[in-house]
Amino acid sequence: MSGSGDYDDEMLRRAGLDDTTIDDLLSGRVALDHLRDGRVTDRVDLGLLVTFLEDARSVARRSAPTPSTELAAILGAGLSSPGPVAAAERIRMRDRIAGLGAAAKAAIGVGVAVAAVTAAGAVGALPGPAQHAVSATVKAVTPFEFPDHASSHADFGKTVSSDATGATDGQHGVDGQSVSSTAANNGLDVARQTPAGDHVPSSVPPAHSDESSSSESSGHADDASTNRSSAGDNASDTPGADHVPPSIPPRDR
Amino acid sequence: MAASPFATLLAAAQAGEAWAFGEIYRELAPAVSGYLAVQGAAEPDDLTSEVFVGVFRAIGTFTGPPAAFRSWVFTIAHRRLIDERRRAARRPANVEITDEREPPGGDVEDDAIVRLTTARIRELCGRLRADHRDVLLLRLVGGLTVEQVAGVIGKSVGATKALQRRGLAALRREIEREGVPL
Repeated sequence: MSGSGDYDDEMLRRAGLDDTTIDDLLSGRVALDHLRDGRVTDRVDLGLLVTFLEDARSVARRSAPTPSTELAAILGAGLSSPGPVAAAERIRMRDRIAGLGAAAKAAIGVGVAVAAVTAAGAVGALPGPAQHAVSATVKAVTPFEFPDHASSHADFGKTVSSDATGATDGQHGVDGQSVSSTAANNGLDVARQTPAGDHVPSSVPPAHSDESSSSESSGHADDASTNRSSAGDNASDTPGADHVPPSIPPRDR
Repeated sequence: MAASPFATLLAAAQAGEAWAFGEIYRELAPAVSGYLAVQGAAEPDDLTSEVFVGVFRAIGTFTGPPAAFRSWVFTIAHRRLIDERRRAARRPANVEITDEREPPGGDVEDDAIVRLTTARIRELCGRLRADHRDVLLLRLVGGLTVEQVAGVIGKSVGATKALQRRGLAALRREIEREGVPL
């Protein structure tokens, strides 16, 4: 190490490059123009070096590069104040936390986690059961109420249609064999809004009395196909009759 | 007494003002980008952006005059460069690092000259010892004084002067060996 350094130092001394000259070279006070116009006539031997140093300095005069997306966002909108007061406060807070015991740090961690979950709960952003738990906790310890989808849907499932229970047709589960009168009438209302509305019957044919005793059921599969056929017949009378298929395919559920 | 333009700019930047960030970027990004490029950074533009994101996020902690600010920015740039070299050392070294990026700007001829100049300086400085190269490029491209360079690389002023002296001697040897005409 010392050998190479001593050699370089000796070489520089012989070349007349003392610290002042080196500083002049590196800071640009000895420039190529100075050598060419004779202002530094005794340093013409430095031509190659000075040329290189000028080239190196020119690299700093390139255009500013295109910023990354993150930097462009900062350049476009600024930052929410990384000011000296905020920074000093952050340092004080960090020091305060560093001086706390493990239990206190754990408590702060729990507190931060609770705050984060509470914040999410405040906007109803948690999954159902979690949202319900947060809402219940907040309601218990604060005067505030958070949205609780679980409570508002607490009665869901308590009422089951007679079709699903099998009371109407003796078969458990919704099988589409019986349609409520409300649904049937709604269907008629919608049908009346179509171009073929004038041909929509005013009522749905009554259910077969031997297959249903429920007032909720007013049609069966056979009736439904019959009704679809008659609806298709009516549709054949409309201006688009040429495009009406001979039978109406069932809708995908 | 009216605040200096730099004090106003710094205060605005510390308040998070976008225009102040823009001024600082326009003023210092070319030198930072050039420094990182001649130091052989794999992606000088990306690294420059990283540097300035760091600068702007930490600007609230800076206190001092304009010269110290420039030195502070180059300290961040130099550390990012060292981090990148460490990361690169951990990765498989089968990719040749070349400066293939398109330099910004409109003039194709100027861009080509900048690219060739950058490549030659990087190649020649690449033959120097790392500490010699750091000192010389921080002085030449960073535009820092020897005292500021000492602060950036974490050495005494005396040690930094010795590094620049030996670095310059080594550089001169390389240039004369190459025999580039004036």
